[in-house]
Amino acid sequence: MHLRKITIITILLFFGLEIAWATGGSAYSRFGVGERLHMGSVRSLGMGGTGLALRGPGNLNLSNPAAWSDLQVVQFTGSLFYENINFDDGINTGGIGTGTINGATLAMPVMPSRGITLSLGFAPMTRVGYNIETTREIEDGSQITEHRGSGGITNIYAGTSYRFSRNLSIGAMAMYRMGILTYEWSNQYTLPGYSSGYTLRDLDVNGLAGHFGINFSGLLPSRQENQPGPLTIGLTFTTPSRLNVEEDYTINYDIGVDTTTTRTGTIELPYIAGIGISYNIDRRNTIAIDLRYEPWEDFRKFGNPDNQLRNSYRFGAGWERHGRQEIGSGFFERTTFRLGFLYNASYFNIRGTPINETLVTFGMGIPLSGIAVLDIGAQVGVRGTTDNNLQRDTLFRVYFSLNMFERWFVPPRIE
Amino acid sequence: MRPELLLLLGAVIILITFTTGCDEDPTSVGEGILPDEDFIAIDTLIIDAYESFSVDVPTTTGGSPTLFVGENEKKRVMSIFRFDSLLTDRNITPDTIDASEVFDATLYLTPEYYLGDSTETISVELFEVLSGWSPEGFNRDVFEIINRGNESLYTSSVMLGDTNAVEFSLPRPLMRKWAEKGEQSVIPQGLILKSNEDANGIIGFGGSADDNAPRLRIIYGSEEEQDTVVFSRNARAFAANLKDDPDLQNNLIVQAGTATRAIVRFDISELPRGALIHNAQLELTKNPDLSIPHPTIVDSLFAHHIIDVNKFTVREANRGELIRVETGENTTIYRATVSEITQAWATVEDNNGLIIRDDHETLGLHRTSFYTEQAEDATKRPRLKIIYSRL
Repeated sequence: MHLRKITIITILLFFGLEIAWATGGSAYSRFGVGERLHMGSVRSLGMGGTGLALRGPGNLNLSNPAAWSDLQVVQFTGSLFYENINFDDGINTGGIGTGTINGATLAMPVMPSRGITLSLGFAPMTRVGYNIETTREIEDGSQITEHRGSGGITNIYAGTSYRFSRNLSIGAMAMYRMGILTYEWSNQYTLPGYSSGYTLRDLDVNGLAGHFGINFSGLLPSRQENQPGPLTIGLTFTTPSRLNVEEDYTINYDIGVDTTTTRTGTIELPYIAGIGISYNIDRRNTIAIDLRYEPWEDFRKFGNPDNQLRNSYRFGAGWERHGRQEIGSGFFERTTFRLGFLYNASYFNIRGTPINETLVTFGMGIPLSGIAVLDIGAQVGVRGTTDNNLQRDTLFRVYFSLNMFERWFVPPRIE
Repeated sequence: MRPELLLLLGAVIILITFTTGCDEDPTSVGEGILPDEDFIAIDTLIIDAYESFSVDVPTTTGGSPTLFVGENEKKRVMSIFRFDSLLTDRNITPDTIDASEVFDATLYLTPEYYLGDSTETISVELFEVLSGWSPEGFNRDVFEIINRGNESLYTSSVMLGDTNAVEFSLPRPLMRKWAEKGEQSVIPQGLILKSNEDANGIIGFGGSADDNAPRLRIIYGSEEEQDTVVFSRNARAFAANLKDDPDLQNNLIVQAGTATRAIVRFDISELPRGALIHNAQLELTKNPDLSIPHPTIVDSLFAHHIIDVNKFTVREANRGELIRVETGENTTIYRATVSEITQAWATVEDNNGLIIRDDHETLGLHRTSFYTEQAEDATKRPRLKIIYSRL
């Protein structure tokens, strides 16, 4: 695979990023900074969202940059995401399908012997997407409002890893968080003399954060020489971040006039702490569990807390059966299969009701040739409840990730 | 096909499929989740005017098509007109008049309207206009100046119900003066029509319509040979309603005949910042003491926003909102929806207030008066009712 092709794919993905934030999604994304999306490879998504302690030569793991120290060749990963949600509020039902980019990453092992790998890429961190029509009776008529939300925060990152020994490696990445959160209200009236109005609130956010990770595999003895032990503990920490925010508030009428008021301030995002354990049962089977914690009660927007948010945690467990590497193996023998379970106590706490998410995950890794693997992950589950006038979302998510490999830094052979 | 190209093609197809397959129709599910702040609570703000007064404005429509003269109850009206063909194209005047004798000069005015007893007779008097004027920019003040110190040229008695053209003999020297060419010539500025002060009725002569327009016939020549020229087209006219002279600064008046318009101003700074204005109603209460009703014209008042704070002209058909009349048991309320105007004030335009004009301001003799912000009864003061919401 040549760099030129990688560039083409990257451009396509960025182009896709511009058009892919389709309006529509769950109403829960109205709160906080939107629905929380977790950085991770499609491999880890198929394993119940685990990944903090997953490592291996072909694993471009965004959850823990320490895992990059195992990479041996240049690797590019671009992924897509499609989500279908069926809504149920106990009275009405609806549904929506949304597709988007799930990120792209390029990792370059510049000194594989020391585990030094440079990596850069982007991945969505939050997503706002809903489109809800409400009708309220006022006086002798109706007020029909279309509530729309779109946008999200994306992490653009660059980082590196370092291996102290075969059992201990670390990694770090600097993240530039940016995005626009857009909230719109279109009002129409059935009352004579009432004119329609359109209100738009844009929050343009940007700021920095750091993400650090460590992998330790020395708790159990290695089964092979120069290989890490089968049990790995991964620890990660993402720093809190203070994002600059500029909020534009625009009013627009049918007659075309509009006015914009602007205020600036900060949005404070909490830290993220994670611990994961993975165990290689044998050469082909791996199991992993992860636990991540995010204290969203520390969240501040223009200095104010949000009482619709709570401290969240996320637990995942997964199993992976690697495909055979031997030449001549059949398709299913070469294909990697994954299975997992994910419980996400999300940071939404709407009118005192916690919104939880339970998902079963599946995954496949299909080797396409000697230089590429197509990872497919799927998640099926439910989120929320119809209690307290809320809604239950039945989720179906599918992820596609194309992983391409190429050896770049090959020293010239000395004759 | 090489596997890499196949992969690229596949990625593009998947991307297009995903992004074009998204459903963007709104759904009603999720209403219960949205925070209260997302639901627009309607609120109402009622603002009393902080200033209201009246102004005479220069007309922009070229004056009335009818030449009113006479007096009836609260109305006293005079008219001014001229033959623009004498004024603007002096070549129309035959050269021979200059060197000829004027044997006769007769003005013909055709009645087409009267107010009062049809058998009543009023004296109609003609005066020469000595100073220049223009229909555009004409108002009551200009009329007063022109009307000052003029000498009567001719008086004729007219019965209100008469439909035949009324003849007015004009002095022949005046005609020679109007016809004279050269450096010393005088530009003919037209005539004023007045009635006697005890007149009990108003008559309206045709002003600009072809059939009933004023006609000036001049017979000139020599004893042996005489010729006739008739001026009729392009007559200009204006009617003024001058009997009483209300204090314009302290009254809110819309008066036809004098192009008097009402100005009313509201301070909308009480409106919360970022408010979304859904509806705004102007509410004026009629003051019957100063009003002069018209027997047939209704719904002729319009509210406009004032573009230039120093001028009270309006761009016709530009945000003029019809003012509707609601007659109650004891009061008559005039209401107009001025939502767009108020939205503009709150957003991109200066709030210079509203101007109320009569669509027949150069045509009729009626007057509509409203209570001002000084009214003792606060409910009768001009008010603006704004229905708004704020996220």
